Amino acid sequence: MKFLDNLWVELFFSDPGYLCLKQALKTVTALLLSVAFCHFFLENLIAPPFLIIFLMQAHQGKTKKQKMFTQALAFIVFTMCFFIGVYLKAYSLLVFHSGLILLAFLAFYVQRFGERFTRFPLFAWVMYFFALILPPQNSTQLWYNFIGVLMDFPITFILYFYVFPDSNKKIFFDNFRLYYTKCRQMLLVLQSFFQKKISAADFTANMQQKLDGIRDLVLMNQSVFETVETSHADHQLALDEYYFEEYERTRGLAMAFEATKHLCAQGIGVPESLSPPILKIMDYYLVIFQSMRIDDKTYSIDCSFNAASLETALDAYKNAVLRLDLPENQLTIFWNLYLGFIQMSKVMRDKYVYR
Amino acid sequence: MFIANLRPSTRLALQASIALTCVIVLSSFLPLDHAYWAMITAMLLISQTLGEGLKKASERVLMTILGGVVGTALYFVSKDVPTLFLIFIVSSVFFIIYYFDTSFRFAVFFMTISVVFLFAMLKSWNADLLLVRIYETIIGAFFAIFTGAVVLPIRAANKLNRSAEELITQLEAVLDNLFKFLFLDKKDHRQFKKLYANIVVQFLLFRKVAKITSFERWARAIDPKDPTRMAEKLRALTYYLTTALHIVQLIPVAPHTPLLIEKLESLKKDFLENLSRLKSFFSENGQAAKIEFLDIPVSNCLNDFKSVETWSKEDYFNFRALMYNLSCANAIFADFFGL
Repeated sequence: MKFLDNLWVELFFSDPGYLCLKQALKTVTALLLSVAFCHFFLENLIAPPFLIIFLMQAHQGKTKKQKMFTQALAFIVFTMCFFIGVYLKAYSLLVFHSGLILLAFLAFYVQRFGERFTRFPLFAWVMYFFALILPPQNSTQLWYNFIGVLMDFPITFILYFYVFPDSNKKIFFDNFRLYYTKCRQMLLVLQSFFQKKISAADFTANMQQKLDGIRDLVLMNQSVFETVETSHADHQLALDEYYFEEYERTRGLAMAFEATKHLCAQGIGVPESLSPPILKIMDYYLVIFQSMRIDDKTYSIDCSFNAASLETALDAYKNAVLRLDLPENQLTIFWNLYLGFIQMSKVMRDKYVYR
Repeated sequence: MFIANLRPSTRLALQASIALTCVIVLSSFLPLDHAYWAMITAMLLISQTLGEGLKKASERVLMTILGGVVGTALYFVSKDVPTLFLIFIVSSVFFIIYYFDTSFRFAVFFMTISVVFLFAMLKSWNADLLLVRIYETIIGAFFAIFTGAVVLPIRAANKLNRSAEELITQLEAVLDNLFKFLFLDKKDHRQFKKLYANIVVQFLLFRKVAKITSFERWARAIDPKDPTRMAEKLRALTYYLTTALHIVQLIPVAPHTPLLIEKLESLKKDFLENLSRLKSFFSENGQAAKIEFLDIPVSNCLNDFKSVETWSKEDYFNFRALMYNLSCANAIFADFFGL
């Protein structure tokens, strides 16, 4: 069952930032353009459309400049590999196979030079290999292949870098919104549980999946933060601060989930005096997460919320727990839930309430 | 000595070239109609560790069969409807790229569908070709695994042990800071930003390696550890200890009475001892029977703190929550050594 759940998540929720979706759309567009060009001008050749698929994936690098360099280098290497393969195959199959083995060695050997060399050397090997499967039948086709391959580069370059370009800054802002959307979704599940709208089993499975999604997003954001180029030292500080806030908030959600999971596991019902403040706190957090916004120049985070109301709701819950007459281990779980609520807005409350 | 010092990239390079040579040599003796399918499979399945290779190989074979069957069915449905044919081929390319970075198995599934349509477009496609595709994929997968296991193998289990030890080292730092923090007046755990980030990265690395190691374990069937269960336990342990560090900042300065200091010091010592034994558990390759864990009397401290006059009920509850998380961590130790 768990395997099926994991498969489901892998199939539908493996792209939280929609980056793969965008990349796939762009690749298909590039492919169609290359196919159309070959169809109208180059006798329906298929080596150039293949090359463009690989070229669209060869852009590893942290900065835009590095990505451009990788793509240009990949284009030269792919083209050379394909045409050298064509030449060697025509010369002798034994020599071609020796080249294939040598290139296989090199494709892995160059991985030592860093992440940028992990993908495109493998594709270069595949391009050489394609000379075996898709060799030009005559010299006209050879020239047509050359023209087709040459055309691939501007198409890829323009599509990748200028049409809906991958801007780390944009990814960061998209992830910012996505993060709070996911936090809201998680809170809504938590709220449904306390409103007794879903069963304990559904709650646990659903929350775990959502929490894992949020954690993956936080991790992804961590690598995005490292690549966002800021022009001002203060902006970098604001980014650091935001990452910390994201981490703290996720920890709060995890704590609230863990406490509620323990309530479920031990079959502890929520006392009547606790339900209203719990629901109120969650309402406030839903509003807060909805209103979260970020300045696209200074990266400062802001949101509209009534600090006093949130404090009152948190206090009401705290006092209700302190007044409960329950065994100490049960009280501790309710207290852990309170700590989770506190943790969710810890950085924010430090900023706005206590200063 | 020279071989032991070879970098992973050199090992992989040698594995790839030897696997490919094997397939090429085999194809010159056996009538393999489409030997290139075996070649490309062998090349693409060369992986960082043997476990990863096994995982990818099983997925590659399974998804080639599944994708081939689905692709063939779709081909027969669409072969007289050009628009549908085009939609299927473009969609399969779309999904290959979509899953390329996130799911190897789904990428392979769609890759096989696109091969069906590509062949149908260029030449023809039939059930015989599907069979050829499947057995050539199996040949390629066999050689990739064979070289991964025989030629300078890199075992995921070794990586798993190293990765677990590194994560436990980070957890030792968490424990150390946690007990220091109890006696501090000004508590700002921003100083642990880097520690938190390291733990997240280290844990995810461990989880990834654990998943891969499962495949080696399945293949060798001699490893007493269950890596997936271990990853779950280590996740829980990491969660409880880091949560304890978060809670500690809510607690006022602990009274510096000699008795309490002694008790907390002993608690810290016991936890560190258990972490150290856990490290040995990994370094000794899971021989759990040889190592016993210390059953730490976490709740013993509670009564002493209950009577601290300067603390409110709220302070006590925070302290109780801290101890609760530590006792959960303690229970995880018990689970670990009972694996």
